[in-house]
Amino acid sequence: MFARVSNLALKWTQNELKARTSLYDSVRTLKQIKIHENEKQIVVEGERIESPRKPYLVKPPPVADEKASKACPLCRLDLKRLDYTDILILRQFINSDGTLMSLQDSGLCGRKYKLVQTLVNKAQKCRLLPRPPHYQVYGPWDNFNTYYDWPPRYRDQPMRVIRPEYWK
Amino acid sequence: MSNLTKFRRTQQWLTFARLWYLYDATYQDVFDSAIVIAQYLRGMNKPIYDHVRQDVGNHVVVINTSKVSMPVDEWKWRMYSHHSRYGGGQTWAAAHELHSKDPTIVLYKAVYKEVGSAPRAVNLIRSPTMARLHLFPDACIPPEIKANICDQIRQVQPVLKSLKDYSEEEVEKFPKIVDYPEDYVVK
Amino acid sequence: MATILRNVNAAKNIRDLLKKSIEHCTRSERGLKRWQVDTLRVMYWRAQSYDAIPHPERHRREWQNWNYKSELFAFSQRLSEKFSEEMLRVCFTDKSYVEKEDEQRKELGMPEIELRTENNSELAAIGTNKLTPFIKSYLRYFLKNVPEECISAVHNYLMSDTVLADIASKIGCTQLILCNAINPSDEVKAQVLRALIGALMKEKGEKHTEKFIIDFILTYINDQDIMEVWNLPQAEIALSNVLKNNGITEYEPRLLRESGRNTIYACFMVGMYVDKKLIGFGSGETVSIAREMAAYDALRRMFKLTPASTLFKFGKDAYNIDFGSSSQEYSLLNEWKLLDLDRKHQLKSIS
Repeated sequence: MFARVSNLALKWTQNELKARTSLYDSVRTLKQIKIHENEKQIVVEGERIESPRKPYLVKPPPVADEKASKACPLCRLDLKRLDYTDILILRQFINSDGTLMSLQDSGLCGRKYKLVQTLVNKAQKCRLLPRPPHYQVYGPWDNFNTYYDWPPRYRDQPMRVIRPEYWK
Repeated sequence: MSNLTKFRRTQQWLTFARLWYLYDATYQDVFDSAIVIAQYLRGMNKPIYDHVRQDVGNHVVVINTSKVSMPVDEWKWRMYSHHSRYGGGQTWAAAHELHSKDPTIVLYKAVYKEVGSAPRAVNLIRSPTMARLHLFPDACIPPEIKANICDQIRQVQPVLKSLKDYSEEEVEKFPKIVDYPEDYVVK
Repeated sequence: MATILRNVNAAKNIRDLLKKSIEHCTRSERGLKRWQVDTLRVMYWRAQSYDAIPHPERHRREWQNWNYKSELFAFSQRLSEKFSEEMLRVCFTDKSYVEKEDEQRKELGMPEIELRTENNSELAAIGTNKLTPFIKSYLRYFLKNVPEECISAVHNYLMSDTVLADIASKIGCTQLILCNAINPSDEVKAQVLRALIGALMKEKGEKHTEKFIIDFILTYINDQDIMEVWNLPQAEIALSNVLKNNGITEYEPRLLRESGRNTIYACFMVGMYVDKKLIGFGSGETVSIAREMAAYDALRRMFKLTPASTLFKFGKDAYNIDFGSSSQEYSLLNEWKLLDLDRKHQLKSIS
């Protein structure tokens, strides 16, 4: 892959690509992108690398049934009470910019994908995982430390006590 | 004191000693930790505590009050009122507004409520009790106060760890559930 | 009301009287009458006026219904001791009373007439001679791990005028004493108690007197901290001496806990270690005081003088014990050693 561009545009693309490659480097994707610079051209090359996750993959528990062996890895592991605080697990299903992987990329079944989606949303709300760009922040209250408690407690209900005109 | 001998006097001194406790408020619920802090402030952890009006309380030094937490969206709808005692003088402020102005005031108010918010004429013990509460927005304590501390209070809930708190090696070597798919491209 | 008015003259202070009468009236079913209230109020303000003349203090014997003979009889019945009346009269007669009587007779111009003027000093001497060895042997019987200084300190405490006077007043001697003052001093009261013991020695014998001493005088140390009575000065020097006598040259004071170092109510706790074992700990507002108290506590545990380990016997349990066997003196503090059998046990670390 290569491209020819004017000098001005070249600088702009250079910066952007550098930013992108740094992202790629930190995540260590399967495709390592390399840039070769000449006087008038930039060559961007996608190099295949071995997956960094390979040595640390969990061996799923053995199952007798053939049908069960086709289940998604999270279903087969059968983790008890996966929560939003287990960010080292949830991190495996997000991209480098903080967005959630697609269903196809994640390799999960629909139910578990939904679960992971809610948990990732919670973790991002509590700022345990990095928030994606353009994450909707409605006010300064979203930037303070928060947590989800289970079972939820209702200490009092000021929403009912306080008249709506005083809400801010 | 006159009928106490020297050993009894020191035992008495030890019994009624005001101890200095440290409490780390990072990722702790404001109102839950206020209950615990108020108990220590009033001396309810001591076996000699018998009555509400007893002045046997301890000192509590709270650090990292700017990092206290509330359940989701409680920062938004928890309101604090103030009345200037003039007509129409009542004003309202949300918890996040107070917290962004003064990072210690939310915890102060919560502890104030736990110590007993009856009028000053009724709750005589409150003002000396609140004077024993030392709040600091971050982990920096003056050295003269740091030297006084003898013990720490157990936190009310586990401190949540964000991804930044783990080292890169720790993240990398954590067991992985699924491998990357073929031709995976980061968006 | 009649009783109130009658007692007005006798009352030392009008306020006491009012208090008593009000208590009496409020305790009765009918409560306070209107006229009583008015009278009491007037009397109160009269007593408050600045030119009110205070009532003179007078002895109980100046009243008409005072019967000294029956009082003496009641006294011996209270204690369930059968004193003879003559002996009791001698016991309660102080030396100052006799001198005063003599002077009065001289003033009246009849010094030749001799009244019966025995006083209690001889009996008191007999009592003292019995008290001192018996108290010491009693203490030695129950406190086996202490130096001789402790025994003599507790003995001196029990034989002091304040303690004996307190006992005497509690068994009802105060108003029976004949002396030149209306309220007898502590010395006089103590002398009377010693004389009472002397009288028992004369009349009832030694064994009976010992029972009396156990019941009335030695019970005074019940529930008291012996170490406090002793009040050992310079505990750390004493501790180092004691350890040296037992072949231990090194001990180590360590700061165990502290709180509020920079405040006026700082509190420190120091522990005394011998061979990495905690043998005592003490507290205080400074480190030096806490250290002194730690040494004090270590000694207290060595001498087995903690409140839990000092167990005296009184009453019927103590009557038949042979205290004469423990009349031998203990060694002094400078030469004191742990008992060989107990040495391991006594230097056990406190957990």
